[in-house]
Amino acid sequence: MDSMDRTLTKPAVMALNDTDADLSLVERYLGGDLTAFDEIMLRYERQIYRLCFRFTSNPDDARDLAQDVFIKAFENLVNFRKESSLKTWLYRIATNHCINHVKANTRQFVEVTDSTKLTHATAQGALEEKEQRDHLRHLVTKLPPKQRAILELRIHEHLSYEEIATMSNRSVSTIKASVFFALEKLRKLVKEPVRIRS
Amino acid sequence: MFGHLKAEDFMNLMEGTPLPGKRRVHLEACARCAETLKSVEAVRSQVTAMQGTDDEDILEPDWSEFRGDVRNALLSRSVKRASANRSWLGGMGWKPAAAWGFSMVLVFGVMTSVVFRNQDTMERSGSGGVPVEETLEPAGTINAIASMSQPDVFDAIIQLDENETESLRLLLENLTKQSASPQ
Repeated sequence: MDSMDRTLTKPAVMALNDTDADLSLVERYLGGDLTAFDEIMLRYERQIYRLCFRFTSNPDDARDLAQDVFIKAFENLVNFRKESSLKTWLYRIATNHCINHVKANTRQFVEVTDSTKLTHATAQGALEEKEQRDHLRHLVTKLPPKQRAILELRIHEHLSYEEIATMSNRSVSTIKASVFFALEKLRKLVKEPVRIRS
Repeated sequence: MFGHLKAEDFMNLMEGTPLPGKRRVHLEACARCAETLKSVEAVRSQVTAMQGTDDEDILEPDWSEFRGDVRNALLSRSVKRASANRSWLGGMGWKPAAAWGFSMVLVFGVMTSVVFRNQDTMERSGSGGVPVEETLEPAGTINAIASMSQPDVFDAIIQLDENETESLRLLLENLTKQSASPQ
């Protein structure tokens, strides 16, 4: 069903440049064309859901967060100023939403516990690849929320530095530095887990 | 003096952007920067490699249901907002309500201006202004004028002495000459 939807709607949209297509979708939606709703959802639902999943590591929470993001976005679509692309606008809403969610569950990243040390110790041995991935994923959750968000957007969502800078109202240099410091913090966590504060 | 590489330089290097001359020379000479680059790059490649396999692990929802939920939530919120507006407007749409409100304001404005105007007129007649009675001709004067008749004028002429009669005659002649002469 999902794949069928995608094959039906994507070609029509792909004919235009992504940003132009987004703007035309927004105008259509605001003009009362309800099919534009489905097209916007099809374009971005998976990306936004995955971003939310990376912050929550839980499908139900990710689903709720992603739905909240879209509800908020559609309700405020009239305020979308078209200065940035719809994609970065949606990512900004999603990132802020995820950061707030993580902040509300601070215990998850406040400190690296003894169990992490234990996992790390065993990971040094003969852990399978998946366990190592899980371990790294777990360490990523220990990063401060904003740093983590920038890392996710850059490494996993492949957003350009310019796009992230636009989203967060920061310079490209600051974003590059944030990604570097996140990686450096991860390196320290991998080598010798220590207590870190958000 | 040129120091160690900055965070931005490390990121540029890791993403394939070459460093400018001086910094490249520094990197070749500085063991600390080289070590930082190597270790951070290793973590970066681990995190990047994690992505592809991570995507496979992500459990996705039923997208049509997901979309339906968002649509329903938006609809129910807009219905709530509309009903809130309706109850506030007493069941009217906003345009009729606005028209009704405007006409009420207009009526109130007209009534207020009429009241103030009347009040102003009354104040003027009561204090600083000229009394209404004084502006009218006194009844006695009107009666006197009405009672005056032509025989009274002739009586006055008959009572003139000789000199006065001569002066009147000269005056009338002059007036006759002036009216007869062309302008």
